[in-house]
Amino acid sequence: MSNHTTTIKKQCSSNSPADVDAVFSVNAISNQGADDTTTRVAVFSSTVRAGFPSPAEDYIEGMLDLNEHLISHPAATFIVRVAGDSMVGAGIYPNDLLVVDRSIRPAPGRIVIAMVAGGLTVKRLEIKNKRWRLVAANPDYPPIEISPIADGVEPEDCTIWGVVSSTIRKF
Amino acid sequence: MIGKMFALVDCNNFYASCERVFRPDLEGVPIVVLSNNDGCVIARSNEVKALGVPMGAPYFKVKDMLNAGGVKIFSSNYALYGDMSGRVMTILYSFSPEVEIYSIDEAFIDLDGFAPNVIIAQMNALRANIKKWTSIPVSIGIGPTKTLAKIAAERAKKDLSLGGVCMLDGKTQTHSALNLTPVGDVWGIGRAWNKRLNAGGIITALDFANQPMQLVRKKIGVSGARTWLELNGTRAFVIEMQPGIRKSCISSRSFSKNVTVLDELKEAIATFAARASERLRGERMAAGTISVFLLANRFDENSIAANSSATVTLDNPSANTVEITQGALAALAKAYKKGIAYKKAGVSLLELSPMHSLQPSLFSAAPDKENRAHNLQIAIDKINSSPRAVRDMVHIGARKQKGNWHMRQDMRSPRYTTSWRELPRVT
Repeated sequence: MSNHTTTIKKQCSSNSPADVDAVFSVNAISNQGADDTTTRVAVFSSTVRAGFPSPAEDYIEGMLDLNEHLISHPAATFIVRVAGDSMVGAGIYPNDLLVVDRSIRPAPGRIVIAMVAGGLTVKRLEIKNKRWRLVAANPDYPPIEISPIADGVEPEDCTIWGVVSSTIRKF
Repeated sequence: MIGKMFALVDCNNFYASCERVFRPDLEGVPIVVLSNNDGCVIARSNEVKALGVPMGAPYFKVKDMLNAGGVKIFSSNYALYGDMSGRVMTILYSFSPEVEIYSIDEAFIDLDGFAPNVIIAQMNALRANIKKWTSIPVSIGIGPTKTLAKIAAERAKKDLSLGGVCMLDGKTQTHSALNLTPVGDVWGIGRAWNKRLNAGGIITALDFANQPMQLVRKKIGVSGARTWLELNGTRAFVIEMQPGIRKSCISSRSFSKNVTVLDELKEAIATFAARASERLRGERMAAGTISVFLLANRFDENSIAANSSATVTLDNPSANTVEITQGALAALAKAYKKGIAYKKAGVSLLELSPMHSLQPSLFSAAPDKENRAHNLQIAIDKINSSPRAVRDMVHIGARKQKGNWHMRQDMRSPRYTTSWRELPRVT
């Protein structure tokens, strides 16, 4: 008498999902070890629907993804850490993380990362007297003039590294 | 006449450019990047090229020269390079789905379907896009064949008046570009052939292209004839070429349908990892870093946001399929996001070093033992390539590091983009 064990394993179908919902592999193992055979058969060749679909099915979602919330252009987005207090008036404190999106066009009023004196600094970009300048949100830091407004010269061409799109602070 | 075109997007002095991304003070400062263990020069900024420091020079030999030239020296930082490469490739992929990632810093775009009169404008825009988003400068070469696109990219890099983009679409232009290209710089012409060709009076790529094809075939064989055809504007490299490994070894493929399930991706990544490590062994090289990238279906909503990559660094450089697969799967777990329809995935092996320079724990003194290890490797490769490979994958117990061997990388820059503790600081 032979004892047949059947194992069924779901496989990813190589055909279009509409045609084949599942292909099952059936291992028929006899108790005489010598003639083990493995046969692969397509058990179902069409989509099987049984019972009522769960009413929650349409609402199944993953967890909230902070990346999705904070980053719209991953290839252009960098995270930097704040090391100074020059922007405390804008709610940016030492040790905060800033999300910097280089795809955003620097415009007056935006908080930007600028290249000044060989380092990176966070300031607000402004125009005053037809000149671009970087303004701290802390009276201890004087504004930094960066370049005159000239035709075709964008501030990002010379000094602006990226535009800050949000800040992250852990308490 | 303009037929179908390929573009080669080539990052300029890629590793050196990566070192400058968060260091505006290094703009214009000569930079070199050293191979792992700080062995030799593997990347040079233009300023260093001007100093005459050769590529691949052993560090100890050029140390004085570098110091005298005020050169800023970096140990290699593959976490940074891998991440920056992923960003560049993501931008390319958002520009066209027909991207073939060729190495860590080069990719082909098939421009079939692009109106010829707008190609240059489009490529200029792409170049500006990459520069603005990532700050990495690229050169773009366009030509009817991959070999010509490569030559065009070299022209775009060398001739600054071209503004970083060079298209070879006419006979005159192509001839003058070929005339400026030493034959040894042509793809597929090895160093050995370069010498023999030069001895025979064939100095430039144009000299080579002007030889009768029969002669080329007779003397250099089929591969030479292919290169000849490519130089003369006929596509001969249809499939992905597998040239010698330089800095990276990449295996990737587009899926025939979107893949969302992690297990399916695992299977693909394990296959790519096996293929890449096979190539690595074929070149007697080992990799220290494994990077996995996932590209989402670009026609899906939010797809560009869904592209991702992750990098894993091995304790010891390895060419072992199992170790590399484990690393790749760990990187996949980091990069994978649930619910994204992935269209393409790949594994790149970075931080390559010659196998013979590996530390003793991987270097078998007895060739017999090495053979056995190789046979084991093949057996494992076979098992792992079976359809159920991933779940039942054969593992080798974690290799303990013997002795106090550590990779020397005294001058590595922070892993700015992949480590929370090493983020760039802004004042």
